[in-house]
Amino acid sequence: MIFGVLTLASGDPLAALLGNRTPSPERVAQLQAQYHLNEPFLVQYWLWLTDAFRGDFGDSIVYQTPVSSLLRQAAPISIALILMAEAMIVAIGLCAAVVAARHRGAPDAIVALASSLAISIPIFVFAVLLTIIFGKTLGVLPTVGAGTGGWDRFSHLLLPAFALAIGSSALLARVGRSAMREEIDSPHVATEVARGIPSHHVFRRHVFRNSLPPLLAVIALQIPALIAGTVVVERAFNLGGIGTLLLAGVNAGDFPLVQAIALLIVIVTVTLGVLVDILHAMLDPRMSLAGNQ
Amino acid sequence: MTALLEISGLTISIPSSSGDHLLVDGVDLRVDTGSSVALVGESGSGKSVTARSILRLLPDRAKVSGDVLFEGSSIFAMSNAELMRFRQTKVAMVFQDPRASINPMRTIGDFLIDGLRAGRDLARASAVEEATRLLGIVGVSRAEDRLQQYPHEFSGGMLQRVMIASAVGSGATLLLADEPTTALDVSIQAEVMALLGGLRDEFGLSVLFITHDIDLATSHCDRIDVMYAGAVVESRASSDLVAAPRHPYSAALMGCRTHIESRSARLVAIDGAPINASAARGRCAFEDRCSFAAAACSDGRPDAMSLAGDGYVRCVRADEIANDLVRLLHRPSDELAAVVAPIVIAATGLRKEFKVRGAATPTVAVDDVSLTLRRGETLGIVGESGSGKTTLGRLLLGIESADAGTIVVDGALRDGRARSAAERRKRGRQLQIVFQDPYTSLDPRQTPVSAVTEILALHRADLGRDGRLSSAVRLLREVGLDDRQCSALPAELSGGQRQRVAIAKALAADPAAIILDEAVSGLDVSIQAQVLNLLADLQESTGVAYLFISHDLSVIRQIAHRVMVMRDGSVVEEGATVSVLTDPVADYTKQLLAAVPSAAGPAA
Repeated sequence: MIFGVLTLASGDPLAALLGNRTPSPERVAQLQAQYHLNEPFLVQYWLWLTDAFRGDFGDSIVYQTPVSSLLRQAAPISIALILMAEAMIVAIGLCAAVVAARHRGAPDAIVALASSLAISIPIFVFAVLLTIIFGKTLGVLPTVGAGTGGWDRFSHLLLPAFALAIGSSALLARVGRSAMREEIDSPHVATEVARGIPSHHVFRRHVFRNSLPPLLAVIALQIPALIAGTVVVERAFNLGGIGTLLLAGVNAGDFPLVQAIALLIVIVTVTLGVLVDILHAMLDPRMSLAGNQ
Repeated sequence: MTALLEISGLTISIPSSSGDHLLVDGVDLRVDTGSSVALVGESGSGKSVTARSILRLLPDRAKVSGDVLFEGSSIFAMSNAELMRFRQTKVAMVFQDPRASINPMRTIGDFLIDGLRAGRDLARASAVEEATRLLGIVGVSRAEDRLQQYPHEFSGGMLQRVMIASAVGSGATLLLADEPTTALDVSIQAEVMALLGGLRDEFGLSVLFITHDIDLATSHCDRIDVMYAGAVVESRASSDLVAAPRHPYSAALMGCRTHIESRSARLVAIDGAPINASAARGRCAFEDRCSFAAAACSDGRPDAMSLAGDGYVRCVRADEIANDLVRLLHRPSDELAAVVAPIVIAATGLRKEFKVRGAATPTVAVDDVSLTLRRGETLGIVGESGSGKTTLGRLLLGIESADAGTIVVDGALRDGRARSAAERRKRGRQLQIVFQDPYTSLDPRQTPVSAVTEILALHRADLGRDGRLSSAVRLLREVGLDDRQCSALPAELSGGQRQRVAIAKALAADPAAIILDEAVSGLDVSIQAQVLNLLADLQESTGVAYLFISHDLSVIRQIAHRVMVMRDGSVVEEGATVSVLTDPVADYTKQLLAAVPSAAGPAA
């Protein structure tokens, strides 16, 4: 799919390779051989697939280095960014959901208001706001670059991860609040209250636990959006991760690079999706693979 | 006897934007140690709210006055810690729908052990042991294995046993049973009631039983408190009430409960809909629906009038109408002679199998079933869930195609699905269906008029636009809707009114027969009686035949001329309703009949 669309969309690869120079016929022939441009479409696809399977995505046209080594450099930054953002989403989203679900009235209203704001403001506006507040005004956190290893990397990624997480955590808070409310009002929770089970047990074992499956689904649905968001965030904080590479690749018609990144994103999305499904089956006994008796 | 529970002047209202909404209006109630009391009323009468208030399970915003004393101390004076302890050890509640009332994501063992650990401070190991013992007491076999299972692996009846096990395990002395059998099949219902009765004797439990079914109440409880619009209108010993109800509402409940012993031509329907307590302040709440209403009834709320044998009634005309009420209950039954009329549905040798994933042999849902239905006749099909009665209906309609057998409807052979629009229209004129749940079978955005007009447009193109509109309105009036209800959205209609719309929709096609699949099972008893009467009237005027599918023998007895009893896909017995239900041959029919509660008074 990706391969086909990109081959069709990126125009003449030679133009991207050569720019405005007028090449010698030998040079053209050499490039055509290197990128298999003379082969029929299906053969091109087969060659790309087999190479990709070995971890060889060919050479980037823009950077003139193997795509695989570019990815090796950029991937840790993006992966750390996404993991931190995901951790923040879960932490912020669930805390806000629990507060809103348990305390009708003011706390509920505040969470509702804050989450509407957070959902409606675009990521790049957050990025700029965070840069101004924490970077320029308070000067407590770095706002440019990805840092180098360990604590430095962590502190550099804190603001970008937050900017990335805020929208999704607001969504999680809202869905979480209504899922938990629904459980609180359900007959089985009434049973537990009527039996005099302490309220913190009721909340943990019955309300929170039962509302996890729908929340898991929300988290899973947000993953592609999160990955797309990295492009904006990496640009805003100048991080040099996968998102930056993708942007550069698309702008320059660098088809080997774009293909590789697209494939990577698909693999990550599908893998995470499967993980979420497995987790869901573990959480909900009714979805047990063993079936009913 | 000493009072275990004493409720006095309990009034509960919920504030809303349009003023306080009164739910319970000055209820007095007493449960003695070791006795069983039933609180009987239709939905919305305030009986469940009253029961919940005993455990202080009301919304925070509810306004409560009056008092609830348990063993002499007020539950409204309890601190949070005392209340928790009270819920854990003194009073246990069993809810209507066990499947919704037990957390589906935790095991049965977790459910029981949670309660035991919280209430009796048992260590985990001894809690497991105790849970196993409790399951044994309530009659769940292989208790040890069962503890590991989840609620979806249990049947509804078994889950209700688990709820009861939890109640027994808490050591509670009062059991609040809120419609504990309403969601269950008739035969399971009898088992659960027998279990409750047994436990009552064995552990000296007192029971407050909340139900809409006055026969179930009188056959299992010592005392009955009948509630209407948030107030107790009659409080009597069961045997006294059965012998002579003194409030018109009690009599109406007993009359419209379709009696298994007799098939009267018409039920004593209670006209109109139940009203809420707010609308009934300062007069008798039942006045609007009471056929004995007089001027005195709107003059203040009736005081409780003491009766012989420790009871009271709230009716200003109680003495004048006492004899009328008794006569109302013993009207002579009117048997209809079998009619010889043209055959509308003839099915022979029907068979339907369903493949079950993982099972070696397919499930036989319908096994060699034959039936005939004549014009103007009602054939009742009785069976528990899983007996194949609904599949049979779907086969006749052509929603499912039969694996073997033939179906002839209105002279035309039906094999499989309709192949063309014209064929489908023709089938629509032959056979229609009314489903159990009018909430889901009506389009929520369509008014009754437009729903019926739409069907008329399909079948009566000859009428023209105006003609269709006026016949739609006429049809809806015929089923008992007024002009305002004709153009209301389904959400604004009550369950009974929606079912009337569904019936009007079925009639709009002018079919030869209508399949009624549990069509009155979701309705309150008084509304049920109205709808059954309506169906009988419509049959008389149009000659339409009914195939009436139900699990409820007393409803079948009321409406059906002939009955077929189904079990596991086969017909175990069939014949005239009167002879099948009074003198059953098959053991299974006897079992079903034995499971139906009767008004004969408390079971020994």
